[in-house]
Amino acid sequence: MTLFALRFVVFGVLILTGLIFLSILRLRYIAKEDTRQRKKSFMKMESLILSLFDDQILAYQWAVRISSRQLGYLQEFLLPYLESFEGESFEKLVAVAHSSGLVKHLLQEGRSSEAWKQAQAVYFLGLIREPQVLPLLERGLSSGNMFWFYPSVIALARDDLQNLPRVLEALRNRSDWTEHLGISIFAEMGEDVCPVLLATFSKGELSPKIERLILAVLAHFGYLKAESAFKEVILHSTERELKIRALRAWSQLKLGFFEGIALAMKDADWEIRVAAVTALGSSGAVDQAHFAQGLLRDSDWWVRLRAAQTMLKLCIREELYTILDNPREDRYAQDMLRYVLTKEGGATCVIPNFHLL
Amino acid sequence: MLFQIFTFYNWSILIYFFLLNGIYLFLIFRAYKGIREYTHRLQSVNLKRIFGLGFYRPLTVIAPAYNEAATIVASVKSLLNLQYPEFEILVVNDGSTDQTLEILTQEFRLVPSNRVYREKLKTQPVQAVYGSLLYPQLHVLDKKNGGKADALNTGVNFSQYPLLCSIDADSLIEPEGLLRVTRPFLEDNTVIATGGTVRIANGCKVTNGCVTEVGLSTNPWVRFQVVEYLRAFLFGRMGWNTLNAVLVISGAFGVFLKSAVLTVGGYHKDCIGEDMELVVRMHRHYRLNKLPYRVVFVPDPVCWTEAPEDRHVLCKQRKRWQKGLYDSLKSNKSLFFNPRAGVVGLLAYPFYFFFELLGPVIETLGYLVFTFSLLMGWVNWPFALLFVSVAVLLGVLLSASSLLLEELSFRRYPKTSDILILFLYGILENFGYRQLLTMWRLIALLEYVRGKKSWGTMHRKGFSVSG
Repeated sequence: MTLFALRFVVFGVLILTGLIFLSILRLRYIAKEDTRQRKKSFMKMESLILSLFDDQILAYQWAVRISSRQLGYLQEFLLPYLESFEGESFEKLVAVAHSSGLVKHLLQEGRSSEAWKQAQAVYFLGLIREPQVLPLLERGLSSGNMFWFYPSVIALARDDLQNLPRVLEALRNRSDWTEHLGISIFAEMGEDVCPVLLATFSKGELSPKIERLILAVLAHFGYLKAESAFKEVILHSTERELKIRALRAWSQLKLGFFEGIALAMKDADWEIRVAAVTALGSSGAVDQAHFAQGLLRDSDWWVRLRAAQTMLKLCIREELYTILDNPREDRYAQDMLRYVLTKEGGATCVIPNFHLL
Repeated sequence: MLFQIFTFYNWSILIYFFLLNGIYLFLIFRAYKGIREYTHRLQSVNLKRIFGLGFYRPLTVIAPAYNEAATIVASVKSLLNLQYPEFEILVVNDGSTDQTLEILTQEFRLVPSNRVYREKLKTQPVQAVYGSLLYPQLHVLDKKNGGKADALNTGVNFSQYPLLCSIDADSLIEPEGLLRVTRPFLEDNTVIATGGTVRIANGCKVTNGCVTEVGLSTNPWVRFQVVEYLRAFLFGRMGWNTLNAVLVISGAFGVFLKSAVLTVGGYHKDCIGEDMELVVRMHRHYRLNKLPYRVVFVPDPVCWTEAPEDRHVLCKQRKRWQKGLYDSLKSNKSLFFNPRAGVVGLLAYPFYFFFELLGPVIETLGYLVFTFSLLMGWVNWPFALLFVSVAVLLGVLLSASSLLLEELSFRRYPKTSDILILFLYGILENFGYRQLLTMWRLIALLEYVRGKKSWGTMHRKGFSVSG
């Protein structure tokens, strides 16, 4: 009995191992075939896209050349173009997606029980501003999975400016997004979002993180009407991070020097000093360079670095060499200045000496 | 009487053998499902785009280095090539007696830095902190020798970001490795640790600290290890991952939530396998305190490491691993068959104890008893032949399955001939290599029991660099 069982096991395992071996070879073949097919499809689509943009063919003429098995390749192919194109070209590609049946296919995928399939479909549909995607967003917006939340919120933002309160609400309800992500979401709504955001900011009652995001978005769009809001925050806000954000926005917009920046450069918080001295550099106020020289002796490395970079922008070289040659000048200040000059490539000075701590 | 004892042992071995292979087959099945799902999900998002938009948690990479002069530059360059929105690199020179620090200083133009070092975990004193003039994200800490765990704790103390990535200084990380291995932290707030698949770099072409061409070494010792690594990572860890019971995150590359590391007290200095011990301790802490958590294994090949190319170095490495396993299990014995620890206490820990720790003892005794029984005529030859055939074939089946998983997922070996060679080595390893490893592991156990716990030294050859 035992011998029979063992014989059976040997036979079974042998067959199984053989099957696995054959499967490996088969998978190799399939992968090669897939690569070949993808390459072929992409080459075909590249020629079609050129013809489409040159008005040699219409969207449906491209669509009829795409079989249902090639929809995956089409989605993959269109995605980077849709992300970067606007206007007529964008509309033509959207028409291809519609007439090829890709949109219909993705709307079905969007109802899939698998999160990753839904996320992928929702992202593409959001990208082409497909109105039918809206009912599919709820699960993604409440999902803890960032990879599902993001496509959903971006689809919502792309759909209509009217969705701004829902977008803000979705962001308020979670804390794991970064400023960069927030900006990318509002960037999808276009510059028209700025007056609405500024009004929302002025009303208050927002979370500190959303407030910072709004300042960042306004800076991103270079919205000059927000200058007084930035000034107000720099002068009076007690929120450390909000103040830093406002100073950064000030730098981004290259606004002029004012007393708030001078005050911020004396702040006890090193990050505020960093942001302030950077704002001074971008203001181009050459007559205020002495503030930067003061911070060149700061105890913090980053403050010294930004101060040195600001001096490089605001001062003439001779002034900087004078500081380097001054034996009474702070050693760390000289080191940093030398470092910045060396990096910039315009100095005849050497790399800082080694100092033991 | 002897006959009865031997017969009883033979039957026990048979049951043990089928139980072990049964668990392996169960893990293969789980791993297959897990990898299929993972690869589908991976296809659904463009990681670079998503992380580029701000989905990330800043991260500190800690690379302890002790006498790593041969590989340190390639390793640090590999780290500098990493694609991650915000990260810092801390190389902790653990009192190297070779030129490690000097080479680092020269290559990366290190200068003393005044960044503050806060001692949250007790470590050997830090003698100097350096920053790089070329790469602002690179810092080097020079400390008195205290062992790898101490060096890692020093890195934890100095780090400024919420995620920690511990890597061996002789490892090369894939450029997208960090993006992939940190993804679980974004998907689930309860994730406290993640690890990725470690691959063998011997035979691969390395350019500027990156593996640019995957190849198979011609060294037979390395080829055996490639098969072993595929098996260990693709079905071993992936299988346990689906049960949230991954007990090992390779020290070569793992990412941890800093707050979780500090909560459990950092790395244990007296442990040989500090990487495994930390993960087992995390399981113990979170399970026994009923805190929600996940330790996730990411099957992506994210890290490449230099494997021993000769018998002596391999022997030392395996002995160290076995002693590390003993250490980790011993210091977390409260998990053993503890129902409060769930699947970790009832399945994973006992598996590691009976099959990984005691495996060499049982297997070696099995060889001896079985041979003796055969010579005495207590076991008949057809049975013996069939049993040996089953043992060999099941070994081959496991190796073949891991090759299949590799083909289903990442397909990193571009040449079909490489896969065929690995398949062949999956067969050959059952005739000598496996027995040799068993013997070394047994010796390691005996040494450990007799109090010899030293690491031994590993000599590095360095990566085959081009470009």
